[in-house]
Amino acid sequence: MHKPACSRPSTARLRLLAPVPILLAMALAVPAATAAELRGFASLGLNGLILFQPCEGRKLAPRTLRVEDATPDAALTAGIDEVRRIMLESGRPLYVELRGDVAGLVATARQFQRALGTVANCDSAPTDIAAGTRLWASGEDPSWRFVLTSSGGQLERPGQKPVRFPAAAFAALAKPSPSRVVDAWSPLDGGSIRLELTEELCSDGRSESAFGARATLRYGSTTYEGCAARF
Amino acid sequence: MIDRRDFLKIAGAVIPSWGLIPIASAQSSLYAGKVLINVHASGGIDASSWADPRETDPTMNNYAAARTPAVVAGNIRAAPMGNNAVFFQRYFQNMLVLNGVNSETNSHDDGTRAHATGMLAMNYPNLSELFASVHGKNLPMPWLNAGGMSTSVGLAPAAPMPDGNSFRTLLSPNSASATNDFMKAGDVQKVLAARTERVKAQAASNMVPRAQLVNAQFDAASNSRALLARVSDFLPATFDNAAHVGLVAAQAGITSTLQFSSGGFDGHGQLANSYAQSLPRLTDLVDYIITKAGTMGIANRIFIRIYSEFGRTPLNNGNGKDHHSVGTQILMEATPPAWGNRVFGASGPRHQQVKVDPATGAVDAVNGKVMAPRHVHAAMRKYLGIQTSDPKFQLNVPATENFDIFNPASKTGYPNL
Repeated sequence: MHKPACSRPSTARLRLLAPVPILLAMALAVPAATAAELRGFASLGLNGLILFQPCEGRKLAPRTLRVEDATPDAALTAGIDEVRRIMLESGRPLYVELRGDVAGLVATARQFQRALGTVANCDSAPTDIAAGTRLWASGEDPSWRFVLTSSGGQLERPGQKPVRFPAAAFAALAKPSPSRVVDAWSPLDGGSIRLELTEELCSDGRSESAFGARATLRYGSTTYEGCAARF
Repeated sequence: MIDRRDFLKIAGAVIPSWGLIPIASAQSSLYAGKVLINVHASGGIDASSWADPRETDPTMNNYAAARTPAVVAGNIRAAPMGNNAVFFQRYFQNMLVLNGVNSETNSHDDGTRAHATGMLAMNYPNLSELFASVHGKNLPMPWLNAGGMSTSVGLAPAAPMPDGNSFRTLLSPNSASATNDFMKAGDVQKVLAARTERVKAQAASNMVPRAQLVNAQFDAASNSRALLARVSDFLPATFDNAAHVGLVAAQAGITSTLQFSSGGFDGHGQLANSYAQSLPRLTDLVDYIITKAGTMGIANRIFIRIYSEFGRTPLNNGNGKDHHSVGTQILMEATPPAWGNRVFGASGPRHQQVKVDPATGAVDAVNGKVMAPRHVHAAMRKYLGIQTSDPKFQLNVPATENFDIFNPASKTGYPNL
């Protein structure tokens, strides 16, 4: 029997085409190529595949992104590996913070900030780094933390008075470079610091955490070693 | 009206001799030896919060900052946290504290394996498995596992610890509940007796070898079932928890080793808060095991090991503590042993590694040795009578590193005091 040249699509073909509008709608629903601070949970798949489910507020977003690791020396992948090596329940998704571009369902990681094996869900994600923080570094033995925001920098050490620095002294940090050094004087509290930042994987191998930069801070005659999660 | 257990007792007195055949054969195989109980304090228990307290340095502990002194119980000291005071004062004579044990890792997975098997390398048997393969041979459930590492090297795979209801069903499929049966017990006995006679008759006939093998396997399975049924005599109306199930299995002689896990010790932040929950959970579990074993009349068989993946650092920025390879473990017996009320091994003021003389336990920075899981396991294998001749499971501890931890004369104490 002769078939008509233009027939109605078969039922099977209709079934195949049915998801297309839904997929198009999904692709249009997610923002295209925007640089962003991302935080959420990463899972490692086969052949280096990284899947990332972002946190939206205190909940997991209902979408999973595939991550292209474009960080220097694949620091994101190395950081995830480093934490997973020592963490409890190492098979579960790992909390990470990074900077990257999101286009459709693909995120391109540009800067690895930190991975924390001790965070179980978005609700318990850390709030120790406020939005807009330009630099955040900390270390142990002895404990210290340096935080820089638009209103200034502050060196904190347990049991000692914070030392405050003007934000303008850290303008050099804005220039993107794998290694940066800043000297600053504290007119309010006295004393000077030298802060060295090197963008490379930083982990103490004991806190179930890994960071995207190594930080060395010299204040007075003391040198403090640590890692940076914003830099 | 009599309940099911009373009925069984009476039935036991009047049951015909043929009904006793499987039970009699089962009784001959029951295990009445030492029961090894491994308790994994999961997460990496902090030595400072346990039996190696630091009470003067505020960077080490919140209780030190608050000037709260350590608990002193006999020759043992403990952190003034959780229910430690009650626990250690009640059991110091039952325990040997091993301080300064170096896990040689900061990884949870590796530390778990190192302390379960004695080795960081893979393919060594868990202490429970080795024990079960020696003392639990031919038992229905030689190793009951309710947590911790359960990977087997093929000697004696772990049986998951059943809950009370599943355990009852497993032991006595005819039980509808603690007090009711599906079928009359007498009818079940008749069926079992008829089956036994049939198997015997078949065995006496000229069977081909393959049929003989099948018959033997069926007979073995029946005997194993009879062993399990033997436990019915010990079944309580209700079970308190998984430890209770394990102790009943041990009392009935169908298992040789139990393994538990008590978590919440990975205190990277606000350690004192999380340990306020996890420490009492751990000490309550061990207290339950010892107390219950006493009421069940098996206290003299109980050996307990409380271990963790590693120790922890001094306090960090978040008032928590991070991973540190040097830690503490505790060996106990429910009946105070000659080797109790002692501390062997030590760590420095901030839990740095300290070397000790393996023979005496005395601190010896020059000729002393670092105590690692393989040393503790070598000593336990010897003490528990489970030294293996299999070359692939040897711990290869040199003679100069045989830590004499069970020798009542050897001790380290707390050299930092």
